[in-house]
Amino acid sequence: MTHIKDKIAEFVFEELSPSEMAGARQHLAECDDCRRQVAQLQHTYTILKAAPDVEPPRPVIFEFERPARLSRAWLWLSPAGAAIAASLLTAILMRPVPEPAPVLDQVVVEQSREIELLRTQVDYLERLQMAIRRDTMENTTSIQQLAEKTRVQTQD
Amino acid sequence: MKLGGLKPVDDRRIIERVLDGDTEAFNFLVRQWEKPIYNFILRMIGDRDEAMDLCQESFMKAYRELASLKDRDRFSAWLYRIAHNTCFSRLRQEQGKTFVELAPDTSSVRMPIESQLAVEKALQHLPEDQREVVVLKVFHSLKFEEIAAIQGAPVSTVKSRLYMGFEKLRSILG
Repeated sequence: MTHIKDKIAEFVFEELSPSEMAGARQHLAECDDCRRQVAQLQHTYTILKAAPDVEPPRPVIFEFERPARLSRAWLWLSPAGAAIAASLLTAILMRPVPEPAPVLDQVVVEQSREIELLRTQVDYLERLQMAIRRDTMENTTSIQQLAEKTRVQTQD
Repeated sequence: MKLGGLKPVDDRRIIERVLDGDTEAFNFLVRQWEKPIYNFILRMIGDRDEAMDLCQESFMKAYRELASLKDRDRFSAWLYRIAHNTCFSRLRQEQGKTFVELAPDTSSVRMPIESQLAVEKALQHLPEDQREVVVLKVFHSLKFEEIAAIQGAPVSTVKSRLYMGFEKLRSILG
C-alpha cells in the first residue's frame, strides 16, 4: 500500500492529475490513517474558508485628469484677432503650470498632466498657425485685387 | 491563471491599452483586483487602515512598473508578488512593536462574528511565511507553483509551510 501523505495537500486542493486523483481516492478507501489526515486538512480548510472577504474601506484611487477641450472660436480669427490671439498665446505659454490636486502618486499624475497639457498646447499652436496662414493668404489675395483695381483706375 | 472575475486575456488587453497611453484603463484593472489584493494584505497585516494604505501602494507600484511585466497573461501573479513585497517590507519594519487590537469590521459578516474573529486571530498566530501560504492557498486559490514563485521558495518548502500552518491552525481553531 502506497500512502499519500506527501500528496494530501495536493489531493485536498485538487492539484493532482486525474489519474493521480483517482489513485488517491482508491487508496483513501482502504487507508484509515491517510483518510484521517485528509479529513483534518479539509476540516480546517472549511473553517478558514467560511471567513468571508471584506470590502475595502474605500476604493483605490487613481486620477488621470484630462485638460479641458479648447474652443473652436480661433477658426474665425481676423488678422487683428490673430494678433490678439498671439498675445494670449504668449500669456498661456508664460503661465505657471497649475499645482496638481493632492494625489497619492504625485510624480505619475504630474507627469501625465504635463504631457497632456503639452499635447494640447501643441495642438492649439498648430491650429493657430493654420488660421494665421489662411488669413494671410486671404489678405494677400485682397491686396492683389486692390492693387490691380488701382492700377486699372490709374490707367483710366 | 484565472483569479477573481477577469480572465488573463482581459488583463492582457487592458494592459496593452494602458501601455499604449490609455492610462484610465488601468482603473479597470484596479476595480477588478482591489478587493482580493486588499483582503490578502489584510490577512497578512491584520490592520484595516494599514492594509488599505499598502493596497494603494501596491497598485501604485504596479502602475509604475507595468511596462516591465514580461508575461502579460500573468498579471495577477505579478500583482500578488508586488503585494507580497509591500507586505513584507512593512512587516519587517513592524518587528518588535506591540499592537493594540481594534474593534473588527463587521460590515460583511456572513458567519458568526466570533468565528470570523477567531480565524483572523488564528492567522496572526502563524509565522508570516506560513500565513502567506495559507492565505494564498485557501482564500485566493493559487497553485503551489504560483505561491512558490511569489515567495521565491521551492514548492516543497511551500507545501511544508502549508502543512505546518494548518497544523497550528487546527490546534487553535479545533
